[in-house]
Amino acid sequence: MLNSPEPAENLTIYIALILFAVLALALTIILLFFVSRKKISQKKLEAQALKLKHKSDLIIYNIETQEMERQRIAQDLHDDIGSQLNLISLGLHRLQKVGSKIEQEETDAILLLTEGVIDRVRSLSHELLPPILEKFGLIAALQEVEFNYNKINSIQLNFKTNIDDEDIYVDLSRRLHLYRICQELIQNSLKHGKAKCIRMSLLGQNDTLILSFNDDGVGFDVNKLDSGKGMGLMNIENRVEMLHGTMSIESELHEGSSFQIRLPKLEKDERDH
Amino acid sequence: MKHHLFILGFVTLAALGILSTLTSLKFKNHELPWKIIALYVGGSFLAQGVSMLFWTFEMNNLTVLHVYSLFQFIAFSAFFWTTTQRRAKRQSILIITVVISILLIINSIWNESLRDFNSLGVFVSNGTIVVYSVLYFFEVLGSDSYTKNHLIVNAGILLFMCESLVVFLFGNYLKEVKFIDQIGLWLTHAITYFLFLILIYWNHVKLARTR
Ligand SMILES: Nc1ncnc2c1ncn2[C@@H]1O[C@H](COP(=O)(O)OP(=O)(O)O)[C@@H](O)[C@H]1O
Ligand SMILES: [Mg+2]
Repeated sequence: MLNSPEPAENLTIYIALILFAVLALALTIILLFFVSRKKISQKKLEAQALKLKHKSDLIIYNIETQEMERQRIAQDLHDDIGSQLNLISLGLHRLQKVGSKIEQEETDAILLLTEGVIDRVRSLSHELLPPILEKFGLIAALQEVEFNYNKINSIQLNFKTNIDDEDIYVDLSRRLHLYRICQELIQNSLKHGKAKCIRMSLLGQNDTLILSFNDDGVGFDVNKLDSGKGMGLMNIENRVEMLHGTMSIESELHEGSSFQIRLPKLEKDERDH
Repeated sequence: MKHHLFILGFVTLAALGILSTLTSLKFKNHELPWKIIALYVGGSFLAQGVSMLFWTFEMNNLTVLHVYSLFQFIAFSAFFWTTTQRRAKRQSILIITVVISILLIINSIWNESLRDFNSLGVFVSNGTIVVYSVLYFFEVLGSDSYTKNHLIVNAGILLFMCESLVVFLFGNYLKEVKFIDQIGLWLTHAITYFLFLILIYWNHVKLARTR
């Protein structure tokens, strides 16, 4: 029926046209798909980044308010309650010298109790905000930590530093963060690692402050950390992020753990005097 | 010219042989959708082999096309069945596959002769696969499901199904046309098919890498 050459030629041309139209349509669909997918995933990525940023902002805010609260409570404890307790103790001392024997004995007991409370309040306020940090600096505070832990026989804590003037590296808020980081690292080594020997060093290298921490504990699987990260390590990470530093963790089961934190030196205008 | 097309047939056979060897390596490690694609490539290799055998002995090889288009329809339906995460879609695919398969068989026995192109059959079955393929794109856009591992092959399926739908729809008319006038169409067909095979290979490599 289609033997004459002319309609046949027309037919193939029509078929070719249809074919190319259909192929063009298919290609357009494919193209549209990939373009819109890219757009969608970009939007998703942006939303995710925003969420992450929001989350870390929140965490940083949390840490900051936490520190502020601690500071406030420490000051209240020390200045307010502490001084009032001292007044009470003075009064009791005076009372001790008058009155009957029974009264004196009673006063003695109350005085003893009061002095206990005074001690407790002082150490509590020092835990909340170690005064040595502000008065003598981070290195002195860490040396104190070293001294205190070495009083316990079963633990050996070694702290080393090559820094003379820590003010190039740390201001008061940095000192506090680094101090808390060290506290948490030591806690972890003792609690999780059952470590006997801890080596800690704070070294200044050119423009970088390097806090190294090693223990001889049981260690842990760093790869599994992402899921098993507790509040402690999270807080450390957030503090490091706040200080614009980086942290690396190395550990293997039964091989101990080591942490290294690097912070950039303070800019001139950041240093407080 | 016909001679060249004959050679092209063997080139296709060789390409299918290589691709089916590649996709059947580590077959056990493939996810289910990719197992289906590997089986599809193997089946295509067989079909092309038989078809070339018929051609060599100058027998009508269009019967192979009837069987092959049924096989292809079922294979791709299975592929889209495994890649969707929606239950309603799965059930619909299952029902549609059964109904159209039966219709295809009925069509080949009583309607379109086994010695001709099964244009209507190809139109219906390829058209269905085209719809699945487009729906697949939509589903991927709407979710983060694992189905995005098979985007490349899906693009290939869409292209090849659209193209062969048109060519085979007019296949029986083309038989009446002087061969020199239709060579362009068959060349387009071959090029699209090779492109499809390349896309399968590309997807295969990509999957092997991510595993
Ligand atoms: N020095 C360490 N030695 C062994 N395991 C550790 C050490 N530090 C951290 N880990 C592991 O990392 C986990 C997370 O620690 P951390 O974030 O401080 O949470 P927490 O102390 O509240 O359990 C711990 O549960 C422990 O398994
Ligand atoms: Mg902890």
